[in-house]
Amino acid sequence: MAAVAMEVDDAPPLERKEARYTRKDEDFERRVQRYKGQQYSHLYYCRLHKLRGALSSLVQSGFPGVPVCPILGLEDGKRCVVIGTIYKQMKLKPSILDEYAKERSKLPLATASNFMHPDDYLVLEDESGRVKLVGSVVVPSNYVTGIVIAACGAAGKDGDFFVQEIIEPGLPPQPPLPSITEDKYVAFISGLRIGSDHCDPLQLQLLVDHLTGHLGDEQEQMLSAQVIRLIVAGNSLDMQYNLLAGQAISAKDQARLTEPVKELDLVLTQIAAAMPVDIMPGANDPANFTLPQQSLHKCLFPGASAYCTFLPATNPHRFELDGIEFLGTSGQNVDDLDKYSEAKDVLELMERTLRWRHIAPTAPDTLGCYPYTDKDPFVLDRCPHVYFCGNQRSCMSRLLTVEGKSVRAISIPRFCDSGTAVLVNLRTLDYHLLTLSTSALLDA
Amino acid sequence: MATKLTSVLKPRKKGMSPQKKKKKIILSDADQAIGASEKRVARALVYPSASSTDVAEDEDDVEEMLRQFDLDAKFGPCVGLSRIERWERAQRHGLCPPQNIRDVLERVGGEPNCLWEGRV
Repeated sequence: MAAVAMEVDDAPPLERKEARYTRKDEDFERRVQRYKGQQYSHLYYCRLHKLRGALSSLVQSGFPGVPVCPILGLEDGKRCVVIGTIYKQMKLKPSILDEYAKERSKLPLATASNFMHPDDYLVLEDESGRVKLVGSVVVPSNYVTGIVIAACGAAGKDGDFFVQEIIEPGLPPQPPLPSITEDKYVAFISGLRIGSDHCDPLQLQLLVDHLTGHLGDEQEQMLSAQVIRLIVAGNSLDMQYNLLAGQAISAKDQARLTEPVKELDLVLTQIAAAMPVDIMPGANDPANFTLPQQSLHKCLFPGASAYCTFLPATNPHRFELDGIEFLGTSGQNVDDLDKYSEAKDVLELMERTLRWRHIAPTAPDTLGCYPYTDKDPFVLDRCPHVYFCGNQRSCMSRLLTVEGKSVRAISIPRFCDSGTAVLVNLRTLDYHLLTLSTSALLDA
Repeated sequence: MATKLTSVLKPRKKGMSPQKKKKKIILSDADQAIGASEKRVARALVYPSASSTDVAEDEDDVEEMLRQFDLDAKFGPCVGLSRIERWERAQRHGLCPPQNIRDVLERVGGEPNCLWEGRV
């Protein structure tokens, strides 16, 4: 048989860049824990203990000579420092007891999305007791229940503590930023919401094709080859939970339930075949409700699980790429903060969580959380280099430089609404937006 | 049953042993038909923090020590985990809990859970 002459591309194949990946989710995985009926007091105790250690050294250096008193040991007029957990008394906070109240008070004009009220006040609590914080320095709208702070001031005659200064734990120690010589990008997407009406399958397929290098000419492919990893930050599915009403599900409804999962599996298989992908669960995904959410089970993704590049991750997710530390959530922590406090934008809330050294301070008060007895996994020991938060309205980013530590804080927009993915350059910690649109197609 | 709770909460002193004999009256008539060993077990069930034999005063001191450890606020809440777990948690947090508590729990065999375990 004569040899068939084939046209072979002389150019060498483009290789995707690689980076050393280390997963650091051990704190968030619940392998050994068994619920024995314990309450949340242990979680608060562990949180207070850990952050009190960080605060003590700050207090000693910032206020030398001022004693740290337990709250029950406060003396009138004596200047001292108290360390404890904040409880914010909120008038409009929904309480299960309201359903049993004989008199329903009129609801003020506050929207259901934010429960703040001018009459909110802060109470500081430690093991011995609690005391109300007063003073012009105390602005309740900037704080939430569950953070640990130190307050310097003096107790007044009426039992309140007049605060002169509030000390927050501040950013935790940060490992040095390694220097990387070439441009490598990490792609973030969130809020795919496959199965909902918002999701545009063509837009998603465009993204997949772009990331896997099936789109565009050589220059485009070179850009795609620089993307080393994709992180899917929650809410990838929009399951029709109303079908799970407790009755037997008909075959047609069963198909409707499983369709979105199969579609997501197809998408993830295509991506996993080309590059490493981490998928985090979100508020609407088939994972547990309480934080830390455990990784989506691999039986949901029979196609993608065959690849070693596919990694179901927990929410929050912590990992390291070439020495750069990443930490992020699918957005539940920040959304809950938004309901109970006021901030200019999402990035300010994220900055506050870093300053409080706790990524989800409202857990377990208003944010579902597992009742740990031996630790609080949301307390930050190390400051990440990149701090992300999924399922937000728009992409915003800021390089926070505080006390010599720099953190790239990014909010990832919902893909179903914006069609935007975010790329972060590991070399410079810059971010770029990748927007895919099918509107031109529809107009034509 | 109410008698059991009050006697548990009172501090145990050396002169209190006559109360033990009073407890026999609490057992119903049916129980008197049971043998002596069963009665001892039944007494243990009525007074949970005692061991199965007739309790000597050093058991009370052990229990007293363990209760002081339970109520020490430095080591956190005591309900919801066993005493050994709480001791180990305190150890991990660097609070240096007293070693004799650990020894008592492991060797002498003090009550594994605090007083309110399962009741609160």
